[in-house]
Amino acid sequence: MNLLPLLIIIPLLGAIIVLLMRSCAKPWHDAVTFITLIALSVIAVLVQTGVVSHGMMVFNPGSVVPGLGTIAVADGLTGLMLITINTVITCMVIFSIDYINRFEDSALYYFLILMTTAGLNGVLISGDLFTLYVFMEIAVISAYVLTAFTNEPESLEASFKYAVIGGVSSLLILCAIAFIYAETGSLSFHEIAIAWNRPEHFLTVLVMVLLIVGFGIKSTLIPFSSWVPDAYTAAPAPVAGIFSGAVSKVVGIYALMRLLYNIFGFDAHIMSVVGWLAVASIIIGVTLALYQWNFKRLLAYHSISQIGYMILGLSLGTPLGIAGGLMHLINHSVFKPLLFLNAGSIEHTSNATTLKDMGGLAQRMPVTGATSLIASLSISGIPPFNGFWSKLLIIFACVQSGKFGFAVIAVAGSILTLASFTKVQRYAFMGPLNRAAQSIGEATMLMRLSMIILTVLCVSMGVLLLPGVYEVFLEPAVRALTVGRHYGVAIEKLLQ
Amino acid sequence: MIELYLGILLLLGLICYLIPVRHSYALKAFALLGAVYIGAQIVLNFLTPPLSATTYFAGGAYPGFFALGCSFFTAVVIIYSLSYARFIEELNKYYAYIFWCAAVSVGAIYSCHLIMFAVMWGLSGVLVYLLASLQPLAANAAKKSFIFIGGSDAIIMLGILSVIFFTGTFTIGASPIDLNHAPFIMQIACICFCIAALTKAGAMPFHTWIPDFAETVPLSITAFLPASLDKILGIFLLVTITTKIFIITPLIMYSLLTIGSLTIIAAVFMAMAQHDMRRLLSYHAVSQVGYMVIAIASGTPLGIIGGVFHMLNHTVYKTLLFMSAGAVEHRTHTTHLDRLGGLAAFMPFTAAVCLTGALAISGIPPFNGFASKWMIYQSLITAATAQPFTSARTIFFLGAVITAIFGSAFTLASFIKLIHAIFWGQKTRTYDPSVVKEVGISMMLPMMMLALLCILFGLLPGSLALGKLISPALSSIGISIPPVVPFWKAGAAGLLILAGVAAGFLLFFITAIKIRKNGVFVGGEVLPLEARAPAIDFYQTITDVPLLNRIYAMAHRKWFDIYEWGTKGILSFGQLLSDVQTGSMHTYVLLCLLGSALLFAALL
Repeated sequence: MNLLPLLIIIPLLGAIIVLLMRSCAKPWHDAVTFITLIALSVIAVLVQTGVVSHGMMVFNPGSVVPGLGTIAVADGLTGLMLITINTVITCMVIFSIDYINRFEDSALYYFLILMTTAGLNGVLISGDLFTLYVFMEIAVISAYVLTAFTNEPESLEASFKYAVIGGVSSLLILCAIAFIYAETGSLSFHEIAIAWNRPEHFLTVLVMVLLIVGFGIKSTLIPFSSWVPDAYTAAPAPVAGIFSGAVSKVVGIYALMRLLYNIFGFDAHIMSVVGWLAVASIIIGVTLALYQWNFKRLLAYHSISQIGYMILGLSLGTPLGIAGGLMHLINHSVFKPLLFLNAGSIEHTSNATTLKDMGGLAQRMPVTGATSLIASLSISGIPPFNGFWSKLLIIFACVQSGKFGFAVIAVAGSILTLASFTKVQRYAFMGPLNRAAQSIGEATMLMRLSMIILTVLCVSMGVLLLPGVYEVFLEPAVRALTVGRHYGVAIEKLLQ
Repeated sequence: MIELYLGILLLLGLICYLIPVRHSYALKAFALLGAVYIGAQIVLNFLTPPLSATTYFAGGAYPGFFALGCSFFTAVVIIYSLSYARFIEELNKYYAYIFWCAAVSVGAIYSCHLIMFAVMWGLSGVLVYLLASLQPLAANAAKKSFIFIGGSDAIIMLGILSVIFFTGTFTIGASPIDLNHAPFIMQIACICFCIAALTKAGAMPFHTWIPDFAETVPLSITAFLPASLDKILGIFLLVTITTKIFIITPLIMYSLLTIGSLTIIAAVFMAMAQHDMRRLLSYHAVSQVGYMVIAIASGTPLGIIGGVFHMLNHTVYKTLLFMSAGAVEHRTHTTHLDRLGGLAAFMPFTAAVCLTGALAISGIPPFNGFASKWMIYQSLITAATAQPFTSARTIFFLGAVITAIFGSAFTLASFIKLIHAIFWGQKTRTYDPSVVKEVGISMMLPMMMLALLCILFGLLPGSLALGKLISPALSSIGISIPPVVPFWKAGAAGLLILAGVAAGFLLFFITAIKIRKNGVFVGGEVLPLEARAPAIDFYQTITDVPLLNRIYAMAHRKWFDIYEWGTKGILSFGQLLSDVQTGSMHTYVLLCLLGSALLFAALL
């Protein structure tokens, strides 16, 4: 039996069931969502093991119009991303169980989360631009609604901005798809990969600009990321975690890299321009973060900066750079949602959102304090936590490719990240206890559980580089990108 | 062997971490047990240095010596902490971090694999942060220290990765890279390494975390980290850089000499103007690094040996000084010099050991500080006179010697201030003899050991410190003492000095009977404060000297603190950028359009 359709059917079914059970008590909603996501995580692992042992997986339901067929494909990169995002979303849902008591409509919340998950899984397994576009829209439209979920003026405003800018980005991507279709007469990745042969230079540049800007907005690259701080701050904390840990990775980085590597083939000039955007994101994102006092807003700017690291690694095109970028992507999907959960946990117990209203909280919230410390050390690239290893790879890949300047900027960004997170630790968790926080307690058991799971991952993810583990997770993903346009040929072979 | 030692240290820390705070006696007993274990290990390693070598760790006499130092100071600080650290709430974490810090420091020293070294080195920085943040009031100092140390760790990563890329091997010092012929990038890599070493050791301009750290963090931690372990690590790295990893160019050598000289003189001037014994001592911790840096940068065997010897001596007397400051604070609950005075009568032992440390750091024979400074001067003068007087080399070397000698004089001056203000002089308030009294045995013992080392290393520099510890260590990496051993023969001169001191005491005790002491007679009036002769006011005049007063004012406004510059620069850049984040959607869309146009131009 082919597993790939299940990745979309299960969350859609779960979403419908949750919505149908709207009148039931909240624990039912929790249970359905949780079971759905656990099932998805298991399937993701099965997909990865299948890909590692048997090579690429393809599911072809057949097409009515030639060139407009719907194809589902999974290779090493897909499997890795599937495991990452489904695990992260599961952790976010565990945290949400207690966190969303403040909202009335838990069924709608879970419905939207499951729809986002379905959309993201759909993007990951899509083998053609049409499927990719449709599932991307499912994911981001659910994300717009989730941003506005708290129903406060700021969140409505942020959601509106997110929707408009997101709409612009989708429009640009749609334009690019139209040009591609006009040139190649197909929407499936493998047919485009084979048919896209030296078109006019202008057309190539146009398509590339449309794609980079379109997916750049979704993946929060500077200068297309102005919507990010507003949306991430306004969204409920676990939702912000999903945005930064899953949505921006899948509909932004994954989609862009899949297209740039496997469909159009690696182009050094285009990738070096993307690399420049990445280093700009690293520095500008972290500088803006240093300026912030609102915890979630600060984290949002750090997302921009960290996305820069991933794209910097991926833009180098060397196996080491790709491995570093992908590993940073996975690591970031662990520590950034964890930091958002820390912010959510503080918000939940003390209602404080700015660092100035916190202080000494580690005394009252030891688990939140300890987990946030480890997440902060991870994101700052301090050994032996996971962020260190991926930054190490990225910086080494920069040196290796002769881009010493990029390496210097990556190091500078790392120092500023450290400065920013020592500020977070100083004002939120260390120092004398804030008077307003005298009576607060630790977050609830489930909240702590989800934070602890992510912390354990932060500490242990360095093993991804160990021989034996590397071959199972990162190596197939790196190979999936380095094969370049052979991707199309490989799918073609499987379809015959 | 090495792995076992590291593993046991980590385990000791873990067990301490798991003992609940309320069982403080069990915790202390266990920590003491750990200290005893470390002591046994020191003896064992001293007799037979570990020689095992794996992919990650390699023994040998050279790392063995530095590791020995780390272990020794860990044991000493643990004993000292038994009664000093009572006010730290999370005592289990305190001891755990100390054991872990020892483990990662020893691990960094024994690493022969660059990535393992980076991990251990980075972890030692994290532990500085964790130890400092045990004191809630030290949160700012912890933050600043970690930005400096963690930042330098990020910078050294760049150096390490460049070296790995250039040499194609992970092994440290497989073959030194000759910077005179290597690509320019390697020079940047060398600078990255030097920045990390100088930050850890606390040389200018990366020193500003040390005064802040010493001011608020409990003194046992200050004695443990900036005074001993971080110095050992920093100097170890500096020696490794200049001898095993790189062959440095003259330009880098002159830069290091300049940095060292500036550090000596500027920090000692800052020290003289301090009113708080913690800050005063911390500036000396910076100033002394300058001696080690100029000695090691000189690159001559004698210089490197002198620099390492000075590091050893410095860790001994600076730990001693911080510990005696801790003893004073332990009893009087203050570290402000203008609130102390006349304590020698109440704490004679502390006064004696503090005086020993002060004389040692000021380079007074026959204490250890003199022996190593003497070697440093000699090495620099020999190196300088080897070439004609007009050469750049001679000018830099002689300049360094002159600054070093002047720095030594000013060090003495500022320590006279310290000793006078704390132990001599008039009392600034009445002390309750039941509160202000000599410290307990657990604090006295480590101080006594260190004071004895100050004297022993000074009296027998050749046969003890150099002969048993430093020579074997450095000769294993090819640096041996020149055949004409020029170090100071302490024998005759030391005896004469001791005889002089003894004669002085004798004279004092003979004539003491005849001295009549009277209070100041002011006809029943309350003695005005001006009638005192506080050391602080005397030294205040230095800040009024023209030109110097400007520099002091600038230092007061933190003009020389790269941390302040960095913060200001980044925040104004952030202000500029956040002006673009107006919140209006027009701007957002405009930015996207602008970005697209740029992208289009770049790609076309």
